[in-house]
Amino acid sequence: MKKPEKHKQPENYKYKIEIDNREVVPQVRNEKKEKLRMIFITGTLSLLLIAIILFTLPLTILSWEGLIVYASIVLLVIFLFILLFRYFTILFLAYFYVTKYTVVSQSKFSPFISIVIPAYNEGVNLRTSVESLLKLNYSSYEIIIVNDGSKDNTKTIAESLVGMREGVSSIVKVSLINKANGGKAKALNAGIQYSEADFVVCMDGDSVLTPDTLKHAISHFDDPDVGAVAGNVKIANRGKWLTDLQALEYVEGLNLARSAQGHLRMVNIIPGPIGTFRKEALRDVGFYTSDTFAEDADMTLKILAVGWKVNYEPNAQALTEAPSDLMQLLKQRYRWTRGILQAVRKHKKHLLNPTLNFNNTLVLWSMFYEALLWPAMTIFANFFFIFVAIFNGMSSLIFYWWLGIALLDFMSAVYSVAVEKEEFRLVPWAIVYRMVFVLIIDVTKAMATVEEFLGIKMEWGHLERSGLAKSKK
Amino acid sequence: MELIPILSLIILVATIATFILAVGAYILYKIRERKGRTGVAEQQQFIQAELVTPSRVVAETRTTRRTRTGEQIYTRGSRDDSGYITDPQLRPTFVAPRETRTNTSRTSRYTPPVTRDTFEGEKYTSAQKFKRYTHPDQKETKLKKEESLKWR
Repeated sequence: MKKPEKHKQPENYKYKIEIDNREVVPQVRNEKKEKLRMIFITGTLSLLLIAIILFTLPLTILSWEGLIVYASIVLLVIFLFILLFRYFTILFLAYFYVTKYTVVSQSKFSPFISIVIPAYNEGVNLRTSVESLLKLNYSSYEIIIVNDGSKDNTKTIAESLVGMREGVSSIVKVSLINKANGGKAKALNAGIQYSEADFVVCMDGDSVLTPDTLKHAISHFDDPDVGAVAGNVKIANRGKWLTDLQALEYVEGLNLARSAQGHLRMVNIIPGPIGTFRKEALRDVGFYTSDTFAEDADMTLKILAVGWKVNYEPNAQALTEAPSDLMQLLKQRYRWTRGILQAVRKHKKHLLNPTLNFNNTLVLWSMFYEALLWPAMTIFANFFFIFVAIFNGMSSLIFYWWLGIALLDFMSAVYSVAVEKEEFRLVPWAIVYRMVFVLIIDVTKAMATVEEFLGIKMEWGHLERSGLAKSKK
Repeated sequence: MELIPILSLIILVATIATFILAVGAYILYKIRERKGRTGVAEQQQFIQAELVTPSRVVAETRTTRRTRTGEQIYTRGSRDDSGYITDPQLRPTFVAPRETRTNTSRTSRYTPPVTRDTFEGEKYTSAQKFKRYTHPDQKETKLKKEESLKWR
C-alpha cells in the first residue's frame, strides 16, 4: 500500500501590481470664507442676545448676578432632562432590540467573504489576529493583509502568514499586499479592490475576532436593504484601572447605544475593529476616503446617506487592545472627536436638510450632540457646581449631582453587563466613570472641538501596542 | 460630624483635581505631539505595490483547465530573475493603456463629482432612489460606467 504523501506548503507567488489610489473627494473648501461666515453668524447672534438682555433686564426683578445664577440653573435643568431622556431612550430601544434579536431566527445565508486587515506597525499583534481568523466557524472566506508601509517587522510576519492555511472549517487563502504608507483608508481600499467576494469584513490589525463572528454578521445580509453591519467591540487588555474603565465604556456607552441604533437600523459608526460590508454599498459610496480622521464614521454616514440600512450584530465580536496610558487614550479620543466632527461637517447638507434623508439627519444631529454638546454640558455643569461650592458655600449640590449621575450610570452598567454577559466586576467602576473618566475625556473632546473649528492642523498618529497575546496571558 | 458635607468635600476636591489632571494631560499631549510633526506627502493616482499570494491570479494564468465540477485549475508559470511575475498586470488593473486612463477615470465611480460633493444616491430623486438597482435604465448607466474598469 502506498504511503500518503506529506502535504507540502507550495511556494508563494509574488507579483508587482498597480493599485488605484484615487478617492472621491469633496469640493475644495474655502476655509477663509467659512471662518468669516462663522464669525459673522456667531457675532450677530451674540450681539442680538446681549441686546435682548439689555432691553429686557430692567423690566424684570433680576440683577446681573441673579441673571447668571438663574440662567445656569435653567441650563442645568435642561441638561438633566436631556440626560434622562437620552438614558431612557437608549435603554428602551436597546431592550427592544435585544428582545427582538432573541426571537428572530438566524438565516443560513453563507456567501464567500473577504476579510481585509490593514496593518501599520502591527508586528506585535498581526500573528494573533490572523490566527484568530483561522479559527472562525465559517466555511468560505479569504484573508487579505495590507501592509501599509510598516516600519517594524510587520512585512516579515505577514509574509510568513501567507499561504493556503488550515482553518477550523476550511482551507483559507491568506494573501498579502505590500504598499507604501498612505493611511488606513487607502490600505482598506487596496484590500477591497483585490478582494473577490461580494461581502467584505474590514477590521484592524490589532483586533481578534471571536469564532462565530462571520456567521452572525453575514446573516443580516439576507435582507437586500442592509448595506453594512456593525460588530461588537470589546477590550482585550483588561486589569488596569484605565483599561477596565474603557471596557465599561465600550459596554455601557458604545455598545448599548449601538443596540439602540440597531433597533432603528441606522447605526451611526461602524467600528474600525469589526465592520461587515456589502461590496455594492461600498461601490455606491466610492469606497473609503482619507479626508477625515474617522474613516469609519465617514463611511457609515455615506452608506446611510445613499439609503442602505446599517444593522448591529452583538454576537459579531472583536477584541481590541485599548490604550493603557492616559497619553495614548487622549491621542485616540482627540482623533475620534476631530474625525467625527470632520465627518459631520462633510455631510452638513444632510444635517440642515432633513428632506434629503431624514434618518441621516437624525443620525448626524445625534452625533453632533454626542461630540459637541454633551462634553460642553458636562464641563459646564462641573464648573457651575465647583463655583457655587467655593463662592456660595453650597457644596452639597455637587454631591447630589454626582449621586444622581452615578446612580444612572450604575443602573445602565448593571443592565448592559447583564445583557452582554460581561464581567460583573466592571459594574463598580460606574461610580467613578462619569465624574473622573468621562470628565477627562470630555476636556480633550472640548479642546479637540475648539481646535477643529479653528482649523488647527493635526496628524493621524499611531498608538503604541503591547500585544494582544501578552494581554491574554 | 455629618456625612454629606464630608462626601461633598471629597467630591469637590476630586472634581477639581480631575479638571487639573485633564487640562494638564491635554497640554502635555499637545507638547509631545508637536515634537513629532511631519509633512504630508503628495498622493499619486496609481501606486506600485507587491502582492504575495499562495495561488496564481486569474489574469496571469495562461493555461487553465476545468474539472468536472467546473473548478478552475491553474498551471504554474515561469518567473523572471527577480522572482516576480511581471506580465500581465494583476487585478485591479485598467484595461486601457496608461495614456487613456485620464479619460476613463471620468466615468469611473472614483471620479469626484464635478458640481457638488454628492454621493451617487443623492443624484436620484426619491422615486428613482428605490429603483436604482432594479430599473433597467439605471442598470444600463451603471454598466456603462463600469465598462472601463476591470476588477479581475
